[in-house]
Amino acid sequence: MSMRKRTHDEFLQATLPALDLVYNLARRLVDARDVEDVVQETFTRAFGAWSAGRPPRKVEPWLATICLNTGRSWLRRASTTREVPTEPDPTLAAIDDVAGDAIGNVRKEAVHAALWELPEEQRIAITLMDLDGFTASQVSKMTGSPRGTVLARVHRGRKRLARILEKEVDQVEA
Amino acid sequence: MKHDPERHAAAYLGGLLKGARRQMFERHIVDCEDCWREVDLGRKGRSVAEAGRELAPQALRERVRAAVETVSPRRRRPLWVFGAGLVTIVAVAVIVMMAVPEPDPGEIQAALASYRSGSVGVPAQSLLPERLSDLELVGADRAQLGGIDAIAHRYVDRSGDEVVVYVADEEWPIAVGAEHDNAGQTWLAERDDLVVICLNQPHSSLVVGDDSHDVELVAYSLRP
Repeated sequence: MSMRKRTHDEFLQATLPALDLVYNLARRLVDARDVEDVVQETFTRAFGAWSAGRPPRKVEPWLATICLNTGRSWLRRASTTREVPTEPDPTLAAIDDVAGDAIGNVRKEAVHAALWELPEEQRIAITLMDLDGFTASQVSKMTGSPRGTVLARVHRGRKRLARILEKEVDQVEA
Repeated sequence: MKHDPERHAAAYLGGLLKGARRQMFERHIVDCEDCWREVDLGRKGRSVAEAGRELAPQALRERVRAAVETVSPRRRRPLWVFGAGLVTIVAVAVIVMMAVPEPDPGEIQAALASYRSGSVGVPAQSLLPERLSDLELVGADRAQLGGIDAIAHRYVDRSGDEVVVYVADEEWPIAVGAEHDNAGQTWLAERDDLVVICLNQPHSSLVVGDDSHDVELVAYSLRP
């Protein structure tokens, strides 16, 4: 196996398991039509750093930070206006809801639209903690905000989400 | 202690309340409708958010793989750079080994251990204001830290992050490798995830916390 191929294989083996994580983050950063471009650019940027001899100690927070930077650059560059999706996202149709969790039956489209009703800081903090599974300390380092501020944003965002989706949550609970 | 359901619920759900404070809050929410509602809403919101987790489309996986494979690996640095780097590392390692850092004085170690454990001692009269910047005093208790008797003043910020100010009658020993300010009145040290600032005036105080921003705010507010 050539050195070149080995570098690619090592990178992909280490980073592709985090694709869902990056995808979830990109979905809450940029407009739906730009999501896949941002994900692709995140991985190609990451590969550049990796192949230059700067592999990370932990892949997930490293990729999430690159995705955050990529998404923000993308928004500046393309002057993309972010909108709440009004049409159901076709990519969601094939995805099953989380099994075994009553509230998981709330439709993903509704949750996605509700997340876009939150201020950006709350949306990003919730995505990183509740969807991507990072700790408040990790999110604090990624976003450059104190840990207390991260938790306050997450808590306010969660309350607002619960209120926006109150009817669906109550229906499921009933 | 000011009753702030949102702040305390955020701290509780975020795992910042530990030990006795966590148990106290859990007893409190049974009787406090406002706090109960905050915690309940926070939990529901978290479950709702988690239900929004999605899987990336398979086509995107293939697209990413193909895109990465078309990118040429960046040229790594030539071998002589690594050789020079290796020599530098060995030299630094030798210097470090010759100057193995001493451990911190026992009083400083005890203060850090006390902060990390979240242990609360016998209540004591506070010597400090009810508020320091955005942080609110939630309790004061006695602490025996190495050879120093101190009063631990526990402050929390809006989301429950804790900063403890240990006030003593005698001077605190200096942490190893501490950075001093120009006037020599304060020093700062970082230990793993904690930040420590020591002030001599108006009280001999050791400010400890895991959020450097909060620790600096408190230390700044304490300055005469």
